[in-house]
Amino acid sequence: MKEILKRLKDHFTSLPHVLLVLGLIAVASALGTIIPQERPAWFYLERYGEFWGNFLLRLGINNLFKSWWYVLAEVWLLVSLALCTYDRARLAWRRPSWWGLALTHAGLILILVSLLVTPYVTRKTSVEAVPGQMVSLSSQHFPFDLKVEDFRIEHYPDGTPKQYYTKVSVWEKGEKVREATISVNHPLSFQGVKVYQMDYGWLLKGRIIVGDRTTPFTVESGPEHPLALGPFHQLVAEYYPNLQGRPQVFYAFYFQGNPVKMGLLPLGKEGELPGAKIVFDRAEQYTGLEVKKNPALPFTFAGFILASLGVVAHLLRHPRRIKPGTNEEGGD
Amino acid sequence: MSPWETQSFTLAFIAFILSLAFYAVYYWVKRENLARLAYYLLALGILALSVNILARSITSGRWPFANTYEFLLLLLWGAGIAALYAVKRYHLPDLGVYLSPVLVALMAYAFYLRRAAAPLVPALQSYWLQLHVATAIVAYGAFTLAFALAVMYLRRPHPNLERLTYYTIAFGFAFQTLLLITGAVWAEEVWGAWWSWDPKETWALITWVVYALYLHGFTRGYWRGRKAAWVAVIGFLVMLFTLFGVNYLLGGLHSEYR
Repeated sequence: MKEILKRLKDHFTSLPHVLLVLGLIAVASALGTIIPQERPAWFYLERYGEFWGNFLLRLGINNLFKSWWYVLAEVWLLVSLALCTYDRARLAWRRPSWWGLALTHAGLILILVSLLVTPYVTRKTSVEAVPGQMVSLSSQHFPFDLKVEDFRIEHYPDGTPKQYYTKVSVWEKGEKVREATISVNHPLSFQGVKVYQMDYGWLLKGRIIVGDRTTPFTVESGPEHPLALGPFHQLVAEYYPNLQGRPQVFYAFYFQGNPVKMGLLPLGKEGELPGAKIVFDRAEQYTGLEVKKNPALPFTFAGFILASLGVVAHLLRHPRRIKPGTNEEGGD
Repeated sequence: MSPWETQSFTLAFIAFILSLAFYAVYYWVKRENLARLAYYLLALGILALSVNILARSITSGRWPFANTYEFLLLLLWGAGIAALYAVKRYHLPDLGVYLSPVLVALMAYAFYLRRAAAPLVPALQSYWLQLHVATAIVAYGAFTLAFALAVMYLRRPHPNLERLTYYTIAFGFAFQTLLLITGAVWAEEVWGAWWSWDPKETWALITWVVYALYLHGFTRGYWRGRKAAWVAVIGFLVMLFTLFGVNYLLGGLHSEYR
């Protein structure tokens, strides 16, 4: 038994093995950036052909960084890191100048564990809300609700966006407990949950009038958000806040996937649809927020701090004295 | 672009090219005076580059940390200063022979990318930008220098050269570790995920792994000499791909940083 454990330890701490696994991880990671990830199966079959497409899918290269063999390599590295760090820490008692490296490796262990567990412990949800809207997060097991109070975009003089600000209030059990402004690079952090500024866009509210019957609708601006109107019809609308000096909507009306009517319509004006009329009454700007709870984050950051302190400590004192390597071919 | 910025760029470019030319002649005829002249031209180029960076910062009202072009300027500046120091400190006039072609190539690429300073998009408005890019300059500047040292070693092996390459890489590696960490902390602030296998960050990790291989192999004596020097060369090529290749071929989150 002891013999087996020693063999195992030798395997995990053997330098050629470590170099091999690190090298494999490097090559596999490169592959993961070259081959598009997380696309539908047909994409790979079409792009790489029957044989290679199936090969990629079989090996999980379509989602390489979460494939069993990639994760296995990470776990192998984790075991190796743990054993080597243990050895290093013991050595550091005798040679204090080794503490830097021991700390860095301990930090790397925390970071690698975080990398592996984060997807399993993180809960997140996307929110799109207009000012005045209350968003129920407690129903999704987050510890509070959020009310969007205001949203505004700040621009540079040349018109490009400078910053997006969402003013929110935090509610616990029906009571307002906090106010905050969220912007890009400045998430709200409250009770272990973070809320990030992610997105924005327009909601168009209007009516479709058929004879004396009026049906209200809300459609998100942009071609990527078609609105289904019954089983056969679809509406796509895009909002232009200032087109030819006034707010206008470009809309397209589809029947069974084919466009049958398109037009440009100022807000509040009636437009034609086949056998009906359409009005866009108003446009409301919404803010897109991401709500995230990642309980592993403190450990990740502890890892970052340890690893950083370690490399800085190591830089400040050069512990190594290398023997001049005159031997051309390296050699052990 | 202000005339100061344009003129100083031209001056720096010309100085680098002349420096390269004198180093090339020195390589064939081995006259110390030529190397010295080339060295001063290199110093002049770095001086002109300093003026350029300063002029750009003053016109745009921010430090030049915001896109690949500006990063190149800083990288050239950092690698140039490190080279000036190393040549003087370790009496390595030949180092210029190997480094000046790299500097001229990077400068030509900068010339190709050159554009006026633009305001920062929301994602880049963070103190982490300064810190993240500063660690990148030190790390990649050191790896550039290590590349020149390794090539020089491959041409003319010498134990001191090997040791210097190792120290330069160890130094750069520490900063690249900080580069990855500052990037992760910043990504968490701005995108809500500290690691998302974005092409740029994955390739930065690959670069880090290659140099980790170099260091572990070297300190434990697994590879020394020519083998180790080749690993340093591969590391530099991977670094170049991380910096520039990814932008063209792979896209991703860093596409804001053009």
